[in-house]
Amino acid sequence: MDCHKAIELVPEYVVDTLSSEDRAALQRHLDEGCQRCRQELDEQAEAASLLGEALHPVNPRAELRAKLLEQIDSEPQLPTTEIAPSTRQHESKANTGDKPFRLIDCFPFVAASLLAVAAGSLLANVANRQSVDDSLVQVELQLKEQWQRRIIAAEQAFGPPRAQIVGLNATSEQQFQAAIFYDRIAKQLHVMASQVPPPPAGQHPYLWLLDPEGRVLTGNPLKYIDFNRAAAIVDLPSLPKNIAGALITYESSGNPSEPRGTVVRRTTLKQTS
Amino acid sequence: MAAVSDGDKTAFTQLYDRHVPMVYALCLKIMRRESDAEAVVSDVFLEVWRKPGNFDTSRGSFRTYLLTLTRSRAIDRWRAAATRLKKTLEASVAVESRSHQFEEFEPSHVVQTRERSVAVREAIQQLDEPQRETLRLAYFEGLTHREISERLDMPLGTVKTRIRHGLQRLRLSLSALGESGGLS
Repeated sequence: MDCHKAIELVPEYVVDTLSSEDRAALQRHLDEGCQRCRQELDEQAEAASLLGEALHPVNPRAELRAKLLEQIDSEPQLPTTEIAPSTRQHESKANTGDKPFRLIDCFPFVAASLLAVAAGSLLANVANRQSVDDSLVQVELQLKEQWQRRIIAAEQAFGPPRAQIVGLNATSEQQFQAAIFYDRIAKQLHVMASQVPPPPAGQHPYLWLLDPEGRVLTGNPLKYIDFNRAAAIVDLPSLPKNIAGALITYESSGNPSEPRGTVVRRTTLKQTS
Repeated sequence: MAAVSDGDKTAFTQLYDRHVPMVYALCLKIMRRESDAEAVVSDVFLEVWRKPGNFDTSRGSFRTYLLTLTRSRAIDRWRAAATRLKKTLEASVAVESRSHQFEEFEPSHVVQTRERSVAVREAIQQLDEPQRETLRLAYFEGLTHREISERLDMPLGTVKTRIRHGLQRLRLSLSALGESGGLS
């Protein structure tokens, strides 16, 4: 790729909307050491960031700060990587090649690399116990970072970054299927249910999560879509630990606190992860 | 930032206090839900803490690094959520269109505006409306040039020109702001 073509692609590169092919080609050009294009990239990234900076600043809840500071107490700092911030995202995607992540593909390479690093570090520092310890710590950190990179790659392929998904297996004697999972980071419960007949006029489908004794834990409206399907994305601060089942009812009054209408579907739920 | 690299928690706290209003505002703009925005804020600052070496002073200010990182993480999450929703519902449920609602968004805790922010906003206002709209779709909604051309029903070449010229004008504004150099 020549500089003319590279510079033409820079605006989309800085806002991360290039196709994977163009992104990889431009990345190769930058990696070859073209200072002119690198400078163009940095300046355009700086200019684009003004769009974000122009927003009215907003303070988040104080709890977020406290939670974050508590979290960093248990978070080790990792060694510097060679990937620059504005390109790390692109390089990561280029590495995955937009293909599904398969751990088995990476494991031999990761294992061999880590063994080589460990062996090299250990041999070089064998005369000095402190250095050996430092090398082992370094290897451990590298192992952790390698693992985190794999997680990030997998999440980019399959879900939101740093997503922590909890699946709930639905089993029912009826021909009823439901995909239910909880995203711990976004604090959202996602529900997709099929074989839910259309509600009568003036009534609305509701999903109720139940404990083992059949008591209601939460109740939220479902949106009927079409072809006997209903779905919901529910903001839920946390997933109740004792979920054992779910009910779908048709309710005629708004915001009911418990199921009063017709029970349409009933299923048991089991947490899978 | 150098102190953060040395594991100085107090320095990290100061860094957070100084920049979080800007980071959170960008997250809210892209994600719209406070819970989603907070998740991205956590991701971003944890990454700053864990990998302080990823900030390269020779490549621009810390502010730019932080905004680039924030936007990238937020757009990733937004796209993933949109894809997930689309797949889950097979596109039956319309994803809430955010394009016409940004300007109506009223954050709950607006903090004091700084002098620089005023100057930056003036720089944005100096863009003509088509440039501003095109850049907004690319930066905040993560649309490709082709998607923008379809959304605005205009030739792809026009979209590219508007974005290129818009960024050029912002670069001129940067000079006027006396931009550059690391900021911690």
